[in-house]
Amino acid sequence: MSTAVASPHSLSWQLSPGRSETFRRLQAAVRKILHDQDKSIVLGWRQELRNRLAEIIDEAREENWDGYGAARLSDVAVSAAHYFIDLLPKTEPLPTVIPSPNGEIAFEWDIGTSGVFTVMTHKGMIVYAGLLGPDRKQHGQEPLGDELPRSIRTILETYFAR
Amino acid sequence: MNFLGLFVRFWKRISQDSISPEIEPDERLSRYVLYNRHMKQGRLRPQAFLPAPRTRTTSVYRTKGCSEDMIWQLGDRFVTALHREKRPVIGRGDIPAQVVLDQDLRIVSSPTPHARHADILNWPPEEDLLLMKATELATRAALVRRPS
Repeated sequence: MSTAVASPHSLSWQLSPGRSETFRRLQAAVRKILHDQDKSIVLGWRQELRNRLAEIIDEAREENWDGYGAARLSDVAVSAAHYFIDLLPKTEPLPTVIPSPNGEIAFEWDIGTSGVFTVMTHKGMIVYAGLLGPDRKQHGQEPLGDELPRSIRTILETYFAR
Repeated sequence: MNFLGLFVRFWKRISQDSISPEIEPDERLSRYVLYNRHMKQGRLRPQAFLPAPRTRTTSVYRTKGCSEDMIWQLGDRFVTALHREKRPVIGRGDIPAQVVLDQDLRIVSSPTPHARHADILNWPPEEDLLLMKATELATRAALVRRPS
């Protein structure tokens, strides 16, 4: 006898072994639910960023998307943005993903009501600039490498650590 | 006066508007927004002020002395109308010229397509410095959303 309950985890515990076709189908369904659930936990916030990226790619695929002669997002810029997402630590909140007039993709975090920190890839570099407080601003460029540059990581961990 | 007469008067006022080529530091500059992601709650995003990639200029309008209605009409006639898809103006960022000058940027009158049109020039070649200046402008600009 099988018992269906709300949580997929508890469901797996309460399925008694059996050899019926119904049991095997139920068991397969439970495995899929648990697999998808685990996958979403691991990929969740990165997948959310990729979803946001997909939205803006669609919006800025034509030149002049901003009305002022903006370049269309290039394939290189999109690939660089995906790569950059893999380098990012979890932040709270997640950044806003936004196309830039030069055809690159920017990631922007708000700091309170007046601060903002923006990072974008540009020709193999990571460019960043931020107003981090009333009298504090910071900007720079770092090569896009295997790890997130320490300067950017420090800012993200200081202001947006989860 | 009938509607046509009012419209003709309004159109003449917009199209024949004259203004000194000298830009005063206390003048208000308006940057029209056509892309909704360039606005956030209460502010513009830095990308709204970044220069166009080909011209390295940021297009603005000098709106000192203009009524609200006239400011939006300038956007409709001289920004939206020139856009391929006729994308509507959905907001603007108002900023005093002095704030732009404080960033070591220049503002020059560029009376095409309209006497009140101006360009922000002298953007630095370093991308991070350019982004920093655009961030300064965005955080100091007052966002005005277009009334629906």
